[in-house]
Order: sequence, then structure tokens, then C-alpha cells
Amino acid sequence: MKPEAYSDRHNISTSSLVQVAKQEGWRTAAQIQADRSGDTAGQLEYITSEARADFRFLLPVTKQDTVLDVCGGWGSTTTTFARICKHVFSLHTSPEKLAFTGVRCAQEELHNVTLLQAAPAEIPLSAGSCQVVLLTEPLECEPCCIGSAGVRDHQTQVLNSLYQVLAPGGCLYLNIDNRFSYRFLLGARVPPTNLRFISLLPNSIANLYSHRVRGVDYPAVAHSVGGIQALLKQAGFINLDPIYPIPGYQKFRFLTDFKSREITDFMISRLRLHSGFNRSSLIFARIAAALGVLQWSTPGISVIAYKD
Amino acid sequence: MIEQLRAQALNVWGDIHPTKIKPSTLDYLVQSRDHIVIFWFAKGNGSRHPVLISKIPRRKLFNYYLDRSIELVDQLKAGLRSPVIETIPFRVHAGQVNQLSHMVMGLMPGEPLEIPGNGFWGRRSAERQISAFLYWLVNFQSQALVSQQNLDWESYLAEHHSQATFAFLEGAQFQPVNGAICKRLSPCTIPITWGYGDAHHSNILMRGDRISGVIDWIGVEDQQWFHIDWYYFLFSYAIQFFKKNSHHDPSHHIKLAVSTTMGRSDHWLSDLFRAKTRQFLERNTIRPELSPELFLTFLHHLHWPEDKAQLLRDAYSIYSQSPSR
Repeated sequence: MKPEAYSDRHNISTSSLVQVAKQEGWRTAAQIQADRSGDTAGQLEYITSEARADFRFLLPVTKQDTVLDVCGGWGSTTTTFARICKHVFSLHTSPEKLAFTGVRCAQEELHNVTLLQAAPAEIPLSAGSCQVVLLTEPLECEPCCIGSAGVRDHQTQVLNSLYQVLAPGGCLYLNIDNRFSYRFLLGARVPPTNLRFISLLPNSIANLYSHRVRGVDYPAVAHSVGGIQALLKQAGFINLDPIYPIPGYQKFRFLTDFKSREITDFMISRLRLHSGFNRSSLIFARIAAALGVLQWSTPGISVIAYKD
Repeated sequence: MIEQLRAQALNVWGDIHPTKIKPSTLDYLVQSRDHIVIFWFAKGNGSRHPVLISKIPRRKLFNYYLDRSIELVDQLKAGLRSPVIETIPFRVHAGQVNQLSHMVMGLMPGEPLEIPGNGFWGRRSAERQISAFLYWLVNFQSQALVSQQNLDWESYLAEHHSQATFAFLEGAQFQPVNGAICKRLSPCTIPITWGYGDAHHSNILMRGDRISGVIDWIGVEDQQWFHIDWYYFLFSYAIQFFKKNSHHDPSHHIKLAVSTTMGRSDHWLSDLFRAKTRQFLERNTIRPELSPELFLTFLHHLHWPEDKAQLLRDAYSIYSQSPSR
């Protein structure tokens, strides 16, 4: 589930959230909105939990680094990195989300954050100004905002723009939906098309299918591991290191690189204890691990990539 | 950061495994829980078990709790003997990374308790797990007893109630109930023991019919009411049980867990909890009929990340509706 869709589903008014945050504190605002959403625990955790930024332990980040957080949602990632880095630029297209992040940072007494309202393809920062760039919400959030430009073109533009802003030797952390996710393999509807199995098809056939059913092109927003690596290489990134957030990047319990079968087995044995991981998912995970294809079918993919 | 953590973990290898050969490098699996947990695996040794486990807090602010727990557990272990001492992991402070404390420990034997299903085998499994934890806790508390104290509930509430419970207690509806609880508990002398602090089923490791390891001692306390760990275990077990086996919404899981732990539900888990709680209280020479009141004192004491006043309201409602009141 993507964050934009998440907030739409629960009809969250971000402008009222900012007002409440200013008057009663950002945590109270988050609690009120979470209560309204009907998914109190899930939404509250989504807005407040800094656990979403636990991937930072895999990054070579230091106290001297400047970080760019692109489309960072409600500010969890921004605040986490503001605590451990010299400066954080928080970039978003939504003024309300930026305002919420601003209130949150002020109340947490984090004064090393600059808010930037801009599209990720047009970052108003000079080249080579950041050591770390984070794209924790997937690349596909933004195409709806940019009109007729193709999704792939847009994604390439964004990656090029992120590459420019990175300092030599800097690193990018990126999350993306997996087009071959086991959920899609098991017949879940593929957002935003609401069609089953469409992400598994080659793009040309998926376009025909989408045209026939919906009358519009298929926005090929999700990628395979190979697909996202190809896009990153095309943008100039090197040393690509895929990491797999389990069960998904929005709320992960484990981060693994699937390099060892023993680690995979251990992780699956621990997933039994995770209430969000049901019996059928576990059986699928066991079979996929035995066949050696588990990493190809996780719902989300994260990649750590470097600039030469 | 992962490279620094790996190097620090390898540095303390000799402290954790004095007789084992140090591996040249370690593969990792990151787990996101209350803290960051990193399971380290010796490269190419073919074992599906980690050789070291790192724990790091998310924020500098929480270094204190991690460091304090290492000190307290060392103190606690000095007073423990077999078979309890073997169930508590040996932990080492490995240094700091980005100003965050880094603690390393070895793997404890056994598998974490898995919440069972609702059927016949689930029932058998729950009975085995809860009996094993009861046996461990009674043994642990007998070795970790600090003193006996009068449970002066009225004074406790006056001194310790938080903002959330304050609003709740001011409500006229539950004041008489609270008065009745104070009255029933007033002549009660209870043991004060060392407290484990996080008796969540996933922290309890079992091998055969015995508890083989108890991990995550961040919440350790050198003085705690004896019943806190017991009710924490039952209450969190019940929440997870209903999460797994019931299709109701999450708020209903909490209500079910409250009535089950209080022994006021028709579910078989409630019967099991009631029987085991009776054993637990009798071992501590406490009258078993005080269980619902003791459970309510636990709920007041509990750190609850969601709406605490709502939790208490539900619990007091269930308590008030009881036929035995």
C-alpha cells in the first residue's frame, strides 16, 4: 500500500492535521488522525514510528553528512536523520506534509532541517551537495502530479536529478514495489490499475490489457530487482546493493540481502511469530525459499546505490 | 554503520565464545523491534543459527536504559543459581556507533514461544507453554526475592497515576469500583522481587517442556511487585492469541484479552489462565480470589502505547459486570 493511497483511503485532511499539531503537539495530531482513520495502530505507527528509518544502520552515514529526504511522508525519516546528521533537506510536493514535518521538527527541537517544496525531478539544490539521498516512498508517487510524461521517463528524470545532487562517493537509498511480488502472483489487484496479474505481464502486453479494460495505458510503476538496477545503472549509479524489507518497506520486521540460505531459513522461522504474517504467506515463503526465488517475490525492494 | 557494528561484534567474540574460533567475517540479518537487533551469522558455517546478536537503541536518549540493563542483569545474576541462571543471557557492552550504545550477546538455546491455534492441539500447546513459564517465574522469583510489602493501593494511585489514568480516575462512574478494589487489596502483603519487565511470548525461549532462555532484559527492575511479570505474560499472550485466532477488529482483541486475563471469559484460554494464576498466587501465599484486582493494578502499572484511559475503562467495565462482584 502506497502512502498517498493510504492517506486517501482514510480521508485524512493534512491541513487540519497541521493545525492540531501546532496547537496540541504533533503526537496528539497523529493520534487524533489515527483514531479517525479506523486503523489506529497502523496509521499511528505509519505517522510516528522512527522504526521505518531503521535501514539507516545499513548506510555509511556520519555526523558530518548532509541528507536529502525525498517525499518523506510525515517526517519520520527526516527527524531520525536530523538526529544523527549535520543537516537534512526534506523535499516534498505537498505543502501540508512539509508543514507537518516542520512543526514536528520544531517540537522535537531539531533545528538542522530545511523544508523544500519541489518535485523530485527538479531539486533546488546545487550539484554534489548531499552525501546521502533517501527515497523511501516509491518513485511512482509522483507521476500523477506531472501530467502526461511517461512514468519511466519521469522515474529516469528523478534518478538523474538525485544523482546530480549526490556528492561523489555518496549513497542513495531507494524503496520500490516489486512487480513480481508474491501478492500479485497470488492474484492481488495491482495498484493503481486494480487489475489482477497485470504487473507480471511484459509492459507492451500490459498496455494492451489496460487499454482494453480501462481505456488508458498501464503505468508501469513497479519494477523487478533487475529492472530497478538497470534504471539506476542508466542514471550512473554503481555498487548496487539490493536489500529486501520483510514483509514490506512500509513496516518491515527484517532487512536481509538473501545472500545466505541459512539466514533466510532463520528469518522465516522468526516470521512465524509475526502476527501480520499469516499461514499462507509462510507456506509461500518456505516454498519460494526452497526454490531459491524468495528474493524475486518480496512485496518491496530496497536498493543502496553509490555515486562514483 | 553496519561495518562498524560488525567490527565491534567481532571484537567481543572472545568474551561471548571463549572456546570457539573467531570467524573471519559475519553475515547479518537486521530485525526492527523496540530496538534494532542484528543477528550475526558466521560465514559459511552452514548453521541456521546466529553466532552473535547485537542490540542497539534507536536514539541516544535510550542508551541509558540499555547500559543500565547490562549493569542490573550483572547484579541480578550474582544472586541467581541453576537452573535459572542458565536462562539469562551473558551480555557485553561492545562500544558505541553514532553515539548509540551497542550490546552484544550469544544465542540462547530453544525456540521462541509460538502463539498456538484455537483447536485441540493449540490448547495442549498453550497449556504446556503457560505451565513452563509459570515454573520458570516461580523459580526465578524465589531466587530474586527482595522483600515483602503491604500493597497500599490507595497511596500508590495517589503517587503514581499518570495523566491518562488521572482523567480516568476522576470519572465518577468508576470511583466506587476503585474504592472497592482498594478495600479488597488493603490487607494484602505481597512479595517484591526483581522484575523481568518484558515477558512477551517472543522473548521466551522453550526447549522441550522447559524455558531455556529469557531474552531482552531492557525492562529489568530491581524492585517490582511479584505479579507484574505474570500478568504481562498472560495479557500479551492473550492479545496475540486473539490477533491470530479472531477476526474481530484490534480494539476487540484488547477487550477479549482483558476479560480472558481477568478470568471472566468463557473461552478455554480464560479457564487455563484462571487455573495457572491460582497456582501462581497460591505459591506466593496470596488468595487467588484477588486475581482480578491484582490484574487491574497491573494494568495501571502497564506502559501502554495507545489510549491507556480507554484500556482502563474497558477493564473496569468488565470487572464491574462480573457476577462475583
